[in-house]
Amino acid sequence: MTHTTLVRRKIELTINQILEESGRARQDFQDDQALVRDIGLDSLDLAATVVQLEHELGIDPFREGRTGVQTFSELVRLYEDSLSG
Amino acid sequence: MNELVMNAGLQTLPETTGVVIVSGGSRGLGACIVQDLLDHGYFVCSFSRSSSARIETWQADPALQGRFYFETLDAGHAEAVRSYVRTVRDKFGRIDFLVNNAAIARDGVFALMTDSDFQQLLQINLGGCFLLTREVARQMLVQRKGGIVNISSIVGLSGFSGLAAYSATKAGLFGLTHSLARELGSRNIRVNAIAPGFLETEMSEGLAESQRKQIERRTPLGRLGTPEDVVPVVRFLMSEDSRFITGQIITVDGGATA
Ligand SMILES: NC(=O)c1ccc[n+]([C@@H]2O[C@H](COP(=O)([O-])OP(=O)(O)OC[C@H]3O[C@@H](n4cnc5c(N)ncnc54)[C@H](OP(=O)(O)O)[C@@H]3O)[C@@H](O)[C@H]2O)c1
Repeated sequence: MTHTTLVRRKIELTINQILEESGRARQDFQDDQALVRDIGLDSLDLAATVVQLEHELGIDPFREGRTGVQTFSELVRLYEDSLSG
Repeated sequence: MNELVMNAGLQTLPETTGVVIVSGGSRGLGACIVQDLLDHGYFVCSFSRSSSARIETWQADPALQGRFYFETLDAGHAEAVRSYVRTVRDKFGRIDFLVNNAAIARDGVFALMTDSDFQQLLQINLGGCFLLTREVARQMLVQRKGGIVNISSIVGLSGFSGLAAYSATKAGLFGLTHSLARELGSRNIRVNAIAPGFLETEMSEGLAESQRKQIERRTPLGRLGTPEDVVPVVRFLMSEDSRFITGQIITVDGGATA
């Protein structure tokens, strides 16, 4: 698996786990889906996603004040960029 | 600490207790809270800038192996606090409760206080609490469960001459408590504050005899408080008995502000 798909996969798994833990259905994510409007995450779900990803990937790009992430693909790209330094 | 011992301990963890971080557990009220929670079967993690005889006793007690964890660190240092919380999470697997207790007091005529007094009060009493609460709340959000108890003071409610800056930091904790209770309630994380009256600890040693007498006179129950008066309330706010209480300030002052 390439680096890109690995990160994407981790993010998918994390979001699905958070959806499941709160009794919501798992989803297949599309690039242009909005995290809040389409996937249905609220700000605390997003925070939990970021914390869980920090546990697993060892980075949290939001600690440096990154904002403006709206869609699933933007979130994936943010982590890919941060991981590649 | 041996990971296996920790894991073994967690499996036998009674439903009614949990893993708790108490800031400033080396002496005073913090040490009393640590003792009480250890006595009631909690897994207790604490830190302060220096160790103490009580900390060393707990560390050396074979009966507490794997149930007590302590580090020296300064609550005002973001990186140290972050790494401490990460260590606790890695060791114990979760963080159920936080007691924000560490604080410093600076008394004196406000007009004569130094820049450094102001900076330290803000950095430790408020800043330290922000940093620790943020790191612990992150973990609690993932767990979808938790309890936070902020140790404030009645001087944050009704004021005290000579403690203006300190009182302002303690009042700040009320704002934190109310807002975080609203922000985190949907994730089953409760946030409450305790406002003790004057307590017999090192922090209040600086009180003049006349001030002490005045406090006693104005307290319906006729004495200064002790840490032992406060610890059952901390435990209550962490327990299932308080499951529908959040965003509240519980005053424990012998009626001084009645
Ligand atoms: N005593 C009272 O009359 C009274 C009344 C109402 C409320 N309170 C509140 O009760 C709480 C406990 O007070 P206390 O009377 O027990 O005070 P204390 O005897 O002075 O103990 C304070 C504790 O906090 C720790 N601490 C202070 N600054 C720290 C820092 N920068 N980083 C890490 N740890 C730090 C101290 O250890 P180190 O110094 O080694 O760091 C100590 O363990 C405080 O929040 C206080 O505002 C006290």
